Amino acid sequence: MSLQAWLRTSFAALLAVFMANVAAQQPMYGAPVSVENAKKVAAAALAEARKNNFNMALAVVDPAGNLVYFERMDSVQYGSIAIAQDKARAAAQFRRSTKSVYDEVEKGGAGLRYLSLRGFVASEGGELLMQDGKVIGAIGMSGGSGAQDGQCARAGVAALK
Amino acid sequence: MKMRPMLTLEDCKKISAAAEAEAKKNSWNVCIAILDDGGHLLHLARMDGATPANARIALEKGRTAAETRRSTANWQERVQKRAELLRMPGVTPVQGGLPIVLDGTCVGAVGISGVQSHEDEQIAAAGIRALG
Repeated sequence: MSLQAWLRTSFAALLAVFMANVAAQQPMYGAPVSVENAKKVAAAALAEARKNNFNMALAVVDPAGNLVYFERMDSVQYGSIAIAQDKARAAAQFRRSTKSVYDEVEKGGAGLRYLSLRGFVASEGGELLMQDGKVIGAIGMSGGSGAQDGQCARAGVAALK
Repeated sequence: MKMRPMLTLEDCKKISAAAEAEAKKNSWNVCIAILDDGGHLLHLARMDGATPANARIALEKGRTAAETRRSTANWQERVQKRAELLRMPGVTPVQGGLPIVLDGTCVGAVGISGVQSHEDEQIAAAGIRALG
C-alpha cells in the first residue's frame, strides 16, 4: 500500500470513529419549555388518556427537572402524583426516555446497574421534549400500566411537532 | 355519613386560569400551585420567567395552607410573636398560600410564589374567587 493510500484509509477510519461518537452523544440542553407549550403537551397527553379511559397524573419539567406544569385527573391514586414528577425529572436529567432505561434493566446483567444509580427511573412514562434537536424539558406520566403511561406521554410529545 | 366537597380538575383549571389572568394583568410572573385538603398536588403552572424556586415555594405554601387550614399569612403573623412556631414540621410561614374553604370545609389550597408576598396572596385570592 502506498503511503498516500494508507493515509487515505487511516483518515477515513478515524473519521468513521469520530462520526460514530458524535451520533452516540446525547442531545444538548436548550432553552426551557414555555408554559404555553407545556400546556399544549399536557392537553394532547391527557386527551390520549381520556380516549382510552386511562386515569393519569402528568408532569412537565424544565431541562433541570423542575416543575413547569402539572395536572392530575380526578381520582388518580395519590402515589402517581410523585411518580409522574419522578419520571419527568429522570428523563430530563439523564436526557433519555425512562423506557430506554427500563429496556436496559430488562436485559439484566450490566443493565441492572441503573437500579443502583441515584435518580434513575426504570419504568416507562418519562419522555423528552425536544426542539431543534435540543432537550427543552420532559414529560412524565403515571396512573396506568407502564406501556399506557408511555403511550400517553408520547402523544404529548407529538403535540410539540 | 358526613359528605364533603372535593376539587375536580375542572375546578383547578378555573382557579389556575383566573390566578394567571390576575398575574398577567399586573405583568407578574409567578408559579400557581393547587392542592387538595391532604396537601396532594392537583395542578401547577409556572409562568415563563418564574424561577425553579418559585415552583417549590408555591407548592410548599399551598401545602401549609391545605394541611393546617390556615393562610400562610396567618402563620407569618404568628411566627413573629412566637418564634418557636418556626419549628413546626412542614410549615412554610410566608404569605401567599390560602386555604379554599367551602361551607366551612377546607377542600384544598392555592399557593403562589413569584412576586411580593402580599401580591402572591392577591393572586391566590383572585384564583379562589373564580370558583364562585
